Amino acid sequence: MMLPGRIARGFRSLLAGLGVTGRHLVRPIVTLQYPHERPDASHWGGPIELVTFPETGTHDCIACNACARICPSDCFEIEGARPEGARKMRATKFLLDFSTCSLCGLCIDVCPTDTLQYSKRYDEAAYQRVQTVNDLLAPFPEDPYFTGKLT
Amino acid sequence: MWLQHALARFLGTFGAQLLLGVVGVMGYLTFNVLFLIWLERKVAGHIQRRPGPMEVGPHGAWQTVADMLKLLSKQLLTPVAADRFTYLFAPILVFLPTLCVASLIPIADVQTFADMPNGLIVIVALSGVTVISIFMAGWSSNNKYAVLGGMRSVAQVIAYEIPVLLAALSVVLVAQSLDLRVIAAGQKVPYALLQPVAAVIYLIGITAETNRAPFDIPEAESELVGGFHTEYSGMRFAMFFFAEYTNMLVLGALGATLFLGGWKGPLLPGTVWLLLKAYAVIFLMMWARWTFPRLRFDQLMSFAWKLLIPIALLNVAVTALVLGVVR
Amino acid sequence: MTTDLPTTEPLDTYTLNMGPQHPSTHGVLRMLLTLRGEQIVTADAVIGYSHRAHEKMAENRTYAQFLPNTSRQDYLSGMIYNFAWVEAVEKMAGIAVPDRALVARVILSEFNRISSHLLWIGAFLLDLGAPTPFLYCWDDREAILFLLESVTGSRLTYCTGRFGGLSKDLDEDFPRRAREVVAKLKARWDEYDRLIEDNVIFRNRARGVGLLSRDQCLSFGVTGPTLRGSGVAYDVRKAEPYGAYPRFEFDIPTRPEGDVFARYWVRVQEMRQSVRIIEQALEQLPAGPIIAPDSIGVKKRLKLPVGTQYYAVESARGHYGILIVSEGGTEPYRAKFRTPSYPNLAVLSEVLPGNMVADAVAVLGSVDVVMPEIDR
Repeated sequence: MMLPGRIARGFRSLLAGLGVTGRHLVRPIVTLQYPHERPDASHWGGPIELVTFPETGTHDCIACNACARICPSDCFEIEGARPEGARKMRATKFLLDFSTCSLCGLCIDVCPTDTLQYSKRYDEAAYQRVQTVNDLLAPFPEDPYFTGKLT
Repeated sequence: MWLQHALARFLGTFGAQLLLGVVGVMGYLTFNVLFLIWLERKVAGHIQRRPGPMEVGPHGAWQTVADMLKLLSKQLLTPVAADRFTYLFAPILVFLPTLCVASLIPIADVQTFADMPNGLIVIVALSGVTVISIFMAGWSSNNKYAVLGGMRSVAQVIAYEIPVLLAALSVVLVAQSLDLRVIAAGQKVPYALLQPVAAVIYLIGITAETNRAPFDIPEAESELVGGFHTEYSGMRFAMFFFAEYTNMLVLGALGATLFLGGWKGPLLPGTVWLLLKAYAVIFLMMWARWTFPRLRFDQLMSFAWKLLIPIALLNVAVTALVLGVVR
Repeated sequence: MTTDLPTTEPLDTYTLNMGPQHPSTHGVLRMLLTLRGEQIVTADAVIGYSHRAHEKMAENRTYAQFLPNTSRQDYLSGMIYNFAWVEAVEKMAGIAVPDRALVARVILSEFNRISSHLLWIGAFLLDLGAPTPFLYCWDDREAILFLLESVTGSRLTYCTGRFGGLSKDLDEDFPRRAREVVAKLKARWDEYDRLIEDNVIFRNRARGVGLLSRDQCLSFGVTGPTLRGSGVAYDVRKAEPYGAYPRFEFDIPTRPEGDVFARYWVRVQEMRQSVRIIEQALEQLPAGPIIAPDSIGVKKRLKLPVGTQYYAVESARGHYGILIVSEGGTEPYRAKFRTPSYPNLAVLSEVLPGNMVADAVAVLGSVDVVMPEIDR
């Protein structure tokens, strides 16, 4: 049988614990009700995308494949062609398999034209594996270098 | 009461009252379980700084209904070598003593469902029957872990019944009667103030009786050793929880009657006060569940036998002495 | 070490398998226990369910390409592991790192350590049956993870180290936001004490349970809070200082008993010491480049000189060591990772026998094992 002092201390510790949870019981919630409220993803490093440069209004990928070579997970599939009269190649196909991408950022660091960046997307779940392959050229339906608007 | 008169023409007055009583009580108990499960999840949520169920119904009001529907749709698996009758009867039997105890609690003034001047003794006797049903569930499952879990539950319930009854005994000494109606009516000052030690012991005791944390080893140790309801699935499994929450309500109402003045209170009708006080007791139990870690089984047993029972006995002795001097 | 178990005839033991899938949140751990009644007679851990061949992958990737793998070994100390690899390569290649990067690495590593310990506290209390501290710890972790996200872009598996510094600089607002997070954490220590440490039920579950002696620790090579909870004051940050750690003042909390409570207490105190380091580092954060100006970055492949190099850091779980064997190429010939959870788990085969089954979960939890780093 334990001494009355220990019993009192033990009982007081239980009341102190109840006090902590009791205080939390009446305070506002700290969780985000997800589909109705969205988190602040302004700093999130999401799936890789091509940068739209304000000067040209398009990306600057020259299909050098540096990102494809450095990628540890072989995520890239890039093809390029040189538009008529242009000095540099342009990407004609740029696929990134997001299901194997680990968001390491090595491709962003190695790109000679700084045309890759993290996007802010975070809900990329898909029902089929084929949907995880992102077409980075999709936001760029018309390439001004090919249509002759830029050289 | 028009319904009662209408039914009385087919069943007689007593038959009509019986039918209405049964339907009313069972209906209320079902609502009670749904409400308590919702309340539990909301209390748990807000203690953890999150809102709990919010999607199904306004603030998750229909969540429990949805969960019940899900459980109803599950396949009922019966173990091949289980003792069929016992296995099927156990979830039903675990309910019955609780309902009998419920019939003895005064719900308004001197109104109870059953008329017994020695109500508390009957409650003592009935509490023992729950124990048997738990063991039936564990034994009939033909699973050594279920048996172990069942035996542990039995040991736990038996051990913690004694302090509960000793706490009730202290109240009986003060109230000078075993009749719950007299105890409820006679509280000018709630007995919780006159018998604080007994009130605390009672609260701890009923937490253990209903297998709630921090005494929920039989339910929660399923990581290693299954509890008595391991082999139950679907609605049968739900029956045990139905019984647990009903037990919580009944023991909470009993506590409210013994310590908080039962149905007494201004303005609102007696039944409403009784229910409010019962839910207050249940809220305390929920609050404790989400705060404390579990006791290990041997600590649980030694806490009951070596600490609670001696303190409860001491409380009874001191009460008797003080009353002997005062009166 | 054998306890005197009562003999019954015949010897009646049965085997209980705590399979790779179970409610305790320790990853894919499988424990084969033989029990006599309630007492554990033998306890064997079966590992390998999470083997992903990191060491083999290191042989087929350049030093930069291996960076994403590092965080995934122990995903709870991802920052520390990432920096350990970077620093190991930097030391071998002789790459100088600017001061700002060194101090920034310390700040980020210590935040990572705090978040790992917070997660452990939550999971440990969950094992013991108290679900609420888990949520409070997650609330605190959210503040830390949001801060680290603002610096690195990631929340759990970081790949922000580069040879010569970091890939992204800390912005000007960082010290203010970091101090806010620190203030929020400090306000919580008291609450955790009242809710957990002082709680009589917790103390009864944790005191005197799972005794791990100093000699057992030393013979198995146990490190980290598990070792410091058995009375040995060994911390790589003090024993073999690295990075900017020599500039900061901090203590090594140690407790002699070697029970579950001691290991809990050590981790809680470590979080306080980490906060102390962070505050000092924020004061001392120097201006300057975040990566060596002459760093080749990742544009060229780094070639390390021929040789062998061992580099160790203190992760949240203990002594993490990287051995690189280089034959002069762009890829290591062999990379060996000495992860702290490996011996920490192995010692349990000596600690668990004699305890009751009900304590097994508590003891397992108290050692803070992360299975993926055992299996790599």
